[in-house]
Amino acid sequence: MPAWEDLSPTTESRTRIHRFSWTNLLIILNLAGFVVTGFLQKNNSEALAWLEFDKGAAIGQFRLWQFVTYSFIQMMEAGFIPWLILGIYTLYTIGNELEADLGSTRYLTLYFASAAYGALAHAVLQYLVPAVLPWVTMPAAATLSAPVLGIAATAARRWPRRPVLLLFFLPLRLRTAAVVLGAGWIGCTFWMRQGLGPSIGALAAAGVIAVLEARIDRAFDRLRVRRERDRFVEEIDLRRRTDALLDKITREGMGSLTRAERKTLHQASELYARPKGKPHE
Amino acid sequence: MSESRASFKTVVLLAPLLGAVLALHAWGDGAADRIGRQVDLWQYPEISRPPFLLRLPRRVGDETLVSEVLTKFPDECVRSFGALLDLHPPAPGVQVILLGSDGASWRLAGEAGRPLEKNDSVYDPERRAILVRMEPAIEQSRVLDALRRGIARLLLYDAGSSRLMPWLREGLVGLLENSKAADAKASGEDLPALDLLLTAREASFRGLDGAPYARGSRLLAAWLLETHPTEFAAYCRASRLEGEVRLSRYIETFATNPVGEQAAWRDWLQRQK
Repeated sequence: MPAWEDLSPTTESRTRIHRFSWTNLLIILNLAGFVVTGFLQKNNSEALAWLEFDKGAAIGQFRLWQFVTYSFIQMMEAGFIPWLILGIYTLYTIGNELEADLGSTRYLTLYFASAAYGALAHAVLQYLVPAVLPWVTMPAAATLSAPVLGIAATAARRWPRRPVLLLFFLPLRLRTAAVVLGAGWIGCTFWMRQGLGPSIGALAAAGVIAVLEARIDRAFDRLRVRRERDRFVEEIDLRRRTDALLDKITREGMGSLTRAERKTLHQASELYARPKGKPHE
Repeated sequence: MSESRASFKTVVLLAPLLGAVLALHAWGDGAADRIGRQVDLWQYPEISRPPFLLRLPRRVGDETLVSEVLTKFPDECVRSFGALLDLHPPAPGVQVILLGSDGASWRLAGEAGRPLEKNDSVYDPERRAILVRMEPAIEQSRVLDALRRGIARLLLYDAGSSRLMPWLREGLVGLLENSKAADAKASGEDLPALDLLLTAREASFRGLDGAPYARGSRLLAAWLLETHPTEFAAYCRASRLEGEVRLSRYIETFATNPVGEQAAWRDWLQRQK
């Protein structure tokens, strides 16, 4: 296990602000979204309604961009600001590490998939909660909780024993910190009445993606190995048959070959013409 | 990562999301409604008491007294006032919903039942439903009174009460539920003057502020039936046929000597206490 002071040899270079990373761009977008929300709430609440996630608009009217844009709109409430700071801090540290490890494409896919499935979970709650508890209203979602929890859960799965400083001072293993962060955030959603669906949806999505991706990779690897094995066996058989044909040509001449034997020779010539370095040659 | 593998992963990632969005778009609202109705049905089971369909909270186990009122009260009303007010037994399919004080009854209450005070009732003609709001600690007698008032409103609505003047509509409810004694006991100096009562609009009878108007209307109808039975019957008949009719057309003294009528009514009220 690494010591606390050497969390990762590349942490410093990865999280430095002048080095471009998609994570840092997402952080800037989230902070900009926080400021923009403040302006829109006062001056143009209709524009805000286009960006927040509400099932009536996103699913009823197919405003599908809301599945993503809501994660950049932040609540303008004092109680939410500590969670915003914690979310940004998580992205800055864990997010940058994960991006470097997964690569930009997979990282961005994970980020936006967490947001989208978080929105889907919120939509399900918006349908179900008023049906079961008619006096409870489910407001539109506007929070970065989904991608942050998706990233944190994925990182905790990859590096469960990695040491981190929760809330900037509390040394914990990443898995423990992610559980504390997730439980705290979900608990806080009941108090703020915001982000329960996105948090649950993102955690579920991150878990399912981690499990499914590993299975898909294993299935594709097995398929590749089976194909290569079949091709290898086929090559061996072709070489054996070619040797026999060459013996026949030596004995009886080219004219003695049947059409099927000529075809076998043609296949053999294609095999030997393949560039070197390919497997099984 | 090979291209086919990336494509497959993309499909696996997006297909459930897209499928769920389309499914929710197509069936989300309908499914939520069905779930809501099932929840209501569990919390407020249906009990058939023809011509009524009774729904009361599951925790209120015994519905014997309510069923008794539903069975007897409409018949009593029709027997006593059928000829005067052209009342008929209600057609089947009337819902009687006794709403608890909890939020679970929110959807069943609907727009008509939400502003209901405790131990009060309303008849919602659109849903053909009598809605009664109960207190957390149920007072049986007050709930049954409110239920009778609701049934009276249903019978009067079926007899064309929507065309009547608001005071007469409320006054006839008092006649059907025979609330004269209780109203007279409860009445004080807060009763409105006759001229205000006779011209009051529908909104004046609603809520806690409307209680003196409602009580005054019921007492006025009782007084008119007692002191001017023939003229009052003719007035009721004309109101049913023509809509809003001035009382002074049938009882002239309301036009010629309103102060005297007001004094006579007040004297009668004092005697009832």
